[in-house]
Amino acid sequence: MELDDLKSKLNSKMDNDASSRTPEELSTYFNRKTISILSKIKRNMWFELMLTIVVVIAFAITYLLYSSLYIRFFMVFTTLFCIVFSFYIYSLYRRIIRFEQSSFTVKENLQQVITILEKFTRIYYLVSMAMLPFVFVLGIIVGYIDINASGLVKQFHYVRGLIFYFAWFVFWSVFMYFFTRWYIKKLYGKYVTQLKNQLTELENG
Amino acid sequence: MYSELEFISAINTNQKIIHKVCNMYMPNAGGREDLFQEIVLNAWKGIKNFKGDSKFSTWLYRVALNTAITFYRKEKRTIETSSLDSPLEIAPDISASQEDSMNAMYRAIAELSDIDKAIVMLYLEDYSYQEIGDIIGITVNNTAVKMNRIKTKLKESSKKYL
Repeated sequence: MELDDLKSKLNSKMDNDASSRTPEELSTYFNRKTISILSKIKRNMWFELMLTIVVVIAFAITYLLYSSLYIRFFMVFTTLFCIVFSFYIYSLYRRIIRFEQSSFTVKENLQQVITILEKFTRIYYLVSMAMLPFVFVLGIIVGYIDINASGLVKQFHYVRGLIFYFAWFVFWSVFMYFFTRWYIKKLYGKYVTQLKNQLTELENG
Repeated sequence: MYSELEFISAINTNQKIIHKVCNMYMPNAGGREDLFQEIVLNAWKGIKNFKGDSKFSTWLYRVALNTAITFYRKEKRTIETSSLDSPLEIAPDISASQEDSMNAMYRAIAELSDIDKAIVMLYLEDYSYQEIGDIIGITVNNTAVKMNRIKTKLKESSKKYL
């Protein structure tokens, strides 16, 4: 049996079981949340932008409250890092909005979604890794201040302390490296692979 | 530029398109409802940039297919079965053998890849190869080649359901 022999009958039966929505029901859809991956990413980005603003404000207050040069130095660098990160996230956020308002061909649509997801996962990974040196420096500053404040400065063995701290940091970095990769793959890996397979199918004819 | 009322009216008139796409791509009723909602929302977001250079139905097909193809399905693809798997309710004027053939073809279509399903759907709607190519983003020749391959595949795979 050929597809053409059944063309009109199949087409008319493709919408079977379909219960028509009334205009009133359709209008209620506008108040609902979209559940696509990109919409979820967009909501996450919005949350991250708000969080970054809160962090920057908190750092500004800390900067004013603490006169320690180390703390101030750390705050300025972290704030600059947050600002650069925010600009990137905002540009990606705008890109998703532009994408949502456009009408692409199926092929272009797949390319766009894959690009956005790859950019998002890349920045997520880079930020997670870039945070490690910040954590390292912050740990040293806080440890140094804490030891000085506790009055144990004369008994503290700096070389042993630094070796221990460095070993812990290496372990933590390796753990974070593998965990971040696994987590990103778990969240988006399978989905991106599916989309790439569809795109390959289109590109290979 | 469509107002909210005009948009709802246009969707209401063309909602069969959305039902077809949902039936084609979603295995369960819950999933179909989610996809239906997602398509309407995506269409609403995109309507601002719809200039009317194609028919509304063609534009809606594009939005609906894009949404369905990129819609994340939690179910394992290998065990996923679409609503196309369930037998059709056939009109009384169709003979038993034709009914079997329709059901077999319907099941064969359900086994196609998401991209091939989109091409078949547009083909069944009587879109030309040029129009199908424009919606999918491939050349006319490529569309024709793909359609021929799909027809052969459907002919072969529908046999096992007869």
